[in-house]
Amino acid sequence: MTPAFAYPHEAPPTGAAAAFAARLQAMPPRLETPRLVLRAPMIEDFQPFAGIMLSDRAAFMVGEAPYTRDNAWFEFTHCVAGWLLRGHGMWTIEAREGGEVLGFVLIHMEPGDREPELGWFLTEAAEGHGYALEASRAVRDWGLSDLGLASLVSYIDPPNARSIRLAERLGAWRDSPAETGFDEPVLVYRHAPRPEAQA
Amino acid sequence: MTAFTIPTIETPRLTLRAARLDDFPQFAAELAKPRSHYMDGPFTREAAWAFFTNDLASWALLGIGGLMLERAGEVVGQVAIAQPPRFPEIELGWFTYEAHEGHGYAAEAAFSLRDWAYANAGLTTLVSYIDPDNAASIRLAEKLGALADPTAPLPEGETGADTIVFRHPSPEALADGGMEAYA
Repeated sequence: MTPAFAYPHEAPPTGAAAAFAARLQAMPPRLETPRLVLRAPMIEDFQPFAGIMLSDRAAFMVGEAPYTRDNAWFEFTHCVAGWLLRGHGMWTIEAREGGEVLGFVLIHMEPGDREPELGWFLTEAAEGHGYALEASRAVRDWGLSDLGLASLVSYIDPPNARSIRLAERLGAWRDSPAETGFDEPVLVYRHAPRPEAQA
Repeated sequence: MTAFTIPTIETPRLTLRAARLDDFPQFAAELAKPRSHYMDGPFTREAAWAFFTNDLASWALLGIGGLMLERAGEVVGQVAIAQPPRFPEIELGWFTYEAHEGHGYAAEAAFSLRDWAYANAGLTTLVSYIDPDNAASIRLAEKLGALADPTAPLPEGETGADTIVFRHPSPEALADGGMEAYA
């Protein structure tokens, strides 16, 4: 039987609608890394997504935290809609072994962004294993090569030392001129070959 | 890519098709108008973005969603079968842009999308949540054969003063009676 959901709109579809949704979910590329599978989000993934967004782990999401559950829903759906509007969007990060949802990684533009962003966030349990680095590297390479994007940026909250370290490990470089004119202070890390003049 | 998977539905006068990014500015402008108060508007551009993307993402998450109404290359409104937060059931909703009211476009689109959803998404019932003062939408719901269902749960946080739940005929009822009975 269909389990009762505290939030009816979060319940998975059944029957023909489920099959139809599955066909759309087959469109985003499935990326595999040594330990991870990156795949299209399904409605079931909203539970771990909301778990992250409603925790203090969302404190560094630039300009957005704290979330309500409704805000988190619209954040989730607009990241999914990105695939249909722009040809890039959000992947769910799944453990290759066991299939556990570890977090999310995305190439996305949300209102206020000026260019496509490479972003990542993990569940608390998945922290500390290098999963974000592994997932982000695969998605960055896909965006720059398969999608042919000239570059990607990561918008990072200045006190978020962990994400800054990750951006640096990805080889991203701080693009200070791109940081001006935002409502709040933000660091812009650029994922792209450095311009020749700066190399 | 999306055209092959999100349905494109042709009606006598309209093409119902997936939303594209360039549909958004007009969608947001229409939702910012005072006339959207029956939908709890007017809405900010940010809120309009949430609705726009929710109704599109819904296709990939639930296999149902929103479609833009296009007539002669111009978007005249939107119709959606979706379930955003706080809705206890899947809703059939419609929205005609101001300059295109009074031509029956919403009815034409709503009939078609409902038929599509019953035939292709396996739905067995649908509701429309309507403001009691919104006489035009109530007339449209009645034209669609929907009836007030006082036993149906209301959207979270709303009362009967805010919303009437109209329940649409089931697929079986439509097959038995034919829509001539309601038209």
